[in-house]
Amino acid sequence: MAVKQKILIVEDDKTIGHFMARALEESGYQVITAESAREAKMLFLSYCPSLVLLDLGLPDEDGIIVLEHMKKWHEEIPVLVVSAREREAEKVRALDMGADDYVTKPFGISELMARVRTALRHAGNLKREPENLENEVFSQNGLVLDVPHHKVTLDGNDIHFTVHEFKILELLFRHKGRVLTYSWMLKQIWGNYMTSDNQILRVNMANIRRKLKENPAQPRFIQTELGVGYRLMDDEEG
Amino acid sequence: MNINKSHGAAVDFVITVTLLFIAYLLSGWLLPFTGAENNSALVFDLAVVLISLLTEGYIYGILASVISTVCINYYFMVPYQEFNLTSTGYPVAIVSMLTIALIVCTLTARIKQHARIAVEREKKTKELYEINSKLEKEKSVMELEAAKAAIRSNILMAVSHDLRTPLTAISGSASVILDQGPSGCSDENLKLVKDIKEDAEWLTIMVENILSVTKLKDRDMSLTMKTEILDEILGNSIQKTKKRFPDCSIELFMPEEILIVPMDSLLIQQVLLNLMENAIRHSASSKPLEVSASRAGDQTLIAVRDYGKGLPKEILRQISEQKPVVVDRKGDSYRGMGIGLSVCQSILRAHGSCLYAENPEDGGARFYFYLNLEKEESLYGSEAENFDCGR
Repeated sequence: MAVKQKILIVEDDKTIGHFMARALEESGYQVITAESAREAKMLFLSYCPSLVLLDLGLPDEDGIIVLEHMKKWHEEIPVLVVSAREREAEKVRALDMGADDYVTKPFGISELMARVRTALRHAGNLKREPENLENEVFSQNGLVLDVPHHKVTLDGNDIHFTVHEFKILELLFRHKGRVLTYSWMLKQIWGNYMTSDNQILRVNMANIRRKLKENPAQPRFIQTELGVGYRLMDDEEG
Repeated sequence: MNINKSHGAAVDFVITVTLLFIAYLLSGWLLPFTGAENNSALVFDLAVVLISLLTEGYIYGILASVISTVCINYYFMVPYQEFNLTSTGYPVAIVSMLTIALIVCTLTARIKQHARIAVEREKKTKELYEINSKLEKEKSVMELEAAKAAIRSNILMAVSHDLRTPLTAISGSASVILDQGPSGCSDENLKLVKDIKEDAEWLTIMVENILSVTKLKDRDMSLTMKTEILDEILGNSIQKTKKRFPDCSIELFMPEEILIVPMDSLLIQQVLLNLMENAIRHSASSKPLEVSASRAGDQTLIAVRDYGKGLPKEILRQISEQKPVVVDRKGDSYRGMGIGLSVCQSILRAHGSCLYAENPEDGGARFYFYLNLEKEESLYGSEAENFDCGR
């Protein structure tokens, strides 16, 4: 068996840290735990883990600052942020600062594991800056996005997309599995002048969903991260 | 004697008569000693001064001085016991006595007025002071009440927040054991662990409910209204419910039109979660739940219905009367239903809406509510202005 992947859990609540560690070990990861920001930074630098699970509410320092340090030292190491339900702004901030994904407290084990697997799979090969070229055809689960020909087909049928809708879908495909925040997407598609109003993006998304015949209760492609942004679901989840 | 004490006319009259009579007696007693050069004028003067001083207004003083002059003339001036208006000093005496009476009366009246003003002022100051201290008292009571309420909701918030963490740990730990399957422990124990997990999750929802209500009761924390796309809200709520109850089936019916609704999304999701959970727990039916949204004028109608045994009459009545739902708990089968529904009611009330319920004719129970749609002009709609791609 290959060398176990190391996961650093930064969580000041012992019981939560404990069950997360247990669940991850159960799935074959090696786990290191830290209970403070100081300890977390030290362990991060000395172990260079494959992934970090970071609780934002730490006793000695704001988790966001720890995230900033980690991303400065090793940008390629994925960081999953753990945050409370109503802290949407905190999640958005963490994501915009380079966090790779987030889990909301209270969370279930299966959800946590799915997010960990996704983050590890995309680690390193998915940067915020799209490095992919124009000549590309994406496909997933019966949905094909032909970038050079500006064509979308679903289960073999052509679907008519507007320019913005196409751009949104392309953006999601280029960052498959990642949560893209409203503000980041707005900036990518409409440029800097579109700032606070995310309604135009959300209405476009609602139109895309209708065209893709998505059931909001059980999406095939696009997952809504309410108050945060959108994510194209991984093959595993679809 | 207190000069500012006002009394009736009868008392004034008695005082006048008495003093004049005393003056008469005194002058009569003095007469044998002094003879024609008597001091009766001075004695009567004194009486007039006293009368002016002790009575109300000018009338008694003037009356007393007139009587005095007549009296002096009649009794104490030569010739005695008869009027003599020829004496040279007499008009002077009358005028001076009248003047004295008037001056004294004016002075006393002025003094009395001053005294009255002073008293009134004092009274007003006192009243003001009393009002002020009363206000202060009320203010401090109100402040105390506000502080108490703040403390109460702070404690509730803190408790709820702090409960969340251990509850996450409990349900998480339980699911770690469950994921290991029968290799970890016996079937009976697995069942117990499953119960632990389910109850921890149920408690988590209750904590969320308490948090929501605390937020609503706290006047400083108003709703965080944002315009939301209804698909996303309903979709997310159903996904969450499915995550909690993997065996349940829920169907969503949405119109082709994009409905944009201003709301506090966390709280409206809470309403939907509670309604769906109620249906799953209490309908006793395996038929899929139906969640639907449709346009109703400038509002949207959101409904959650099941095909189970329907709602008890008592709950229907409470909901139709807009009273907080209180479930008469016989046994624990309706556990949490009352809390869940009354939380829905207060969240919807805060949105200017309310909860309705009915048992439709074709069976089951249906909960529904209306929310205002975003005004038309701010709708973006589909991008008609964009040229088509792929052409």
